[in-house]
Amino acid sequence: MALFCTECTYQFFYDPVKVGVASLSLLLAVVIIVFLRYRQQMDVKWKMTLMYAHIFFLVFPFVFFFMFKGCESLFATCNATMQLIVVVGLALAISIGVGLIVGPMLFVISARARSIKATKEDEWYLFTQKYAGIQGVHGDVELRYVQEIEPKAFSLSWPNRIIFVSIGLLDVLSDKEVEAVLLHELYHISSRSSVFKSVQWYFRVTSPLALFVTFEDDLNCEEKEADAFAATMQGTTGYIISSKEKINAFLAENINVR
Amino acid sequence: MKRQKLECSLSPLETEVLTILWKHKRLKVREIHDILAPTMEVALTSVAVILDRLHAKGVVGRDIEGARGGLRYIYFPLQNKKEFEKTLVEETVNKLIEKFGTTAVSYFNERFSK
Repeated sequence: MALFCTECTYQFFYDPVKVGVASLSLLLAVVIIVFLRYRQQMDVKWKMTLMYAHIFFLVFPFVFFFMFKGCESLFATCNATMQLIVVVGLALAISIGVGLIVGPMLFVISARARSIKATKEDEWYLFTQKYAGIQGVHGDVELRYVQEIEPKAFSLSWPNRIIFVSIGLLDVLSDKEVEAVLLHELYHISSRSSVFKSVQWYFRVTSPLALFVTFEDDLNCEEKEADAFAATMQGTTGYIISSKEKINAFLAENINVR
Repeated sequence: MKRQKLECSLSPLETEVLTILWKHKRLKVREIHDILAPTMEVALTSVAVILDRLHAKGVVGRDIEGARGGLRYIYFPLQNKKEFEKTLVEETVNKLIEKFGTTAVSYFNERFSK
């Protein structure tokens, strides 16, 4: 009920301290966007940190506003310190908790529901484990087959290390091409690139200012490195190239058909 | 004449794929491609797309089977050739009657009374 209190709204916007804090937070969010746009050479980890910081500063004023009166109804005595802890905690939960934990976990649950786990005797599973060890990825890397006709493959390194390959991909690619795809995905797992991709996806979904920033160079660079790894392991670029050609050919034909 | 009946609602490649499935009953994408390849220049991806289309149309069904490595789709016809042709004729006649009404019915009466 406090959220829709008209008097509370006036009290908030006529309080210079509260308006100042909210404005400063939004300003910091904008500054981070400018930084991300014009400092493209910085490390990927710093970019991820800044994206989360931007979401935090963007979300903070809204949480601050809604909790302004709400805090007093949640606690017996709502002093400024308690209010700050609740507001900051809630903003952190939205910016980092959802983006880093809840979102990826929901994605894993959804992807697992659409796929079948490869058995321990499966040849592709054994291939994946062998090269995971070579690439320095310790522990089990799960392999799952997505029940889709469209040839595709993707991987996750957080919260679990999983490679997803569609049954349609196994239908149209040769064994060597499938190996190339699995090696490509293993590289993504070892470099934890799925974390960066999920962060930048969450960043784009959450912030309208994300339109001013692009991470295309980072993503393309990562793709090239993954292709290079597959080519190095196989001793030729032929299979990774032909696998991508076949996937693109399927997508092009399917679009024309539909 | 029978091939023409099929081709009026299926593309030539769809007809070829369906004919192969009627003969062999259950096949994988690659197996169908291997049968087609000597007589027709067709990509493996094209065969996969065609089978997906036929599945969407309800003409073929598909199961998942374990293979040497991983899983594969196995396609099979949902009707034999006679049943499929009968279904096709029924749908075509129903559409004609729906569109042309008594004109179509009169024509069929005249045609089959001769």
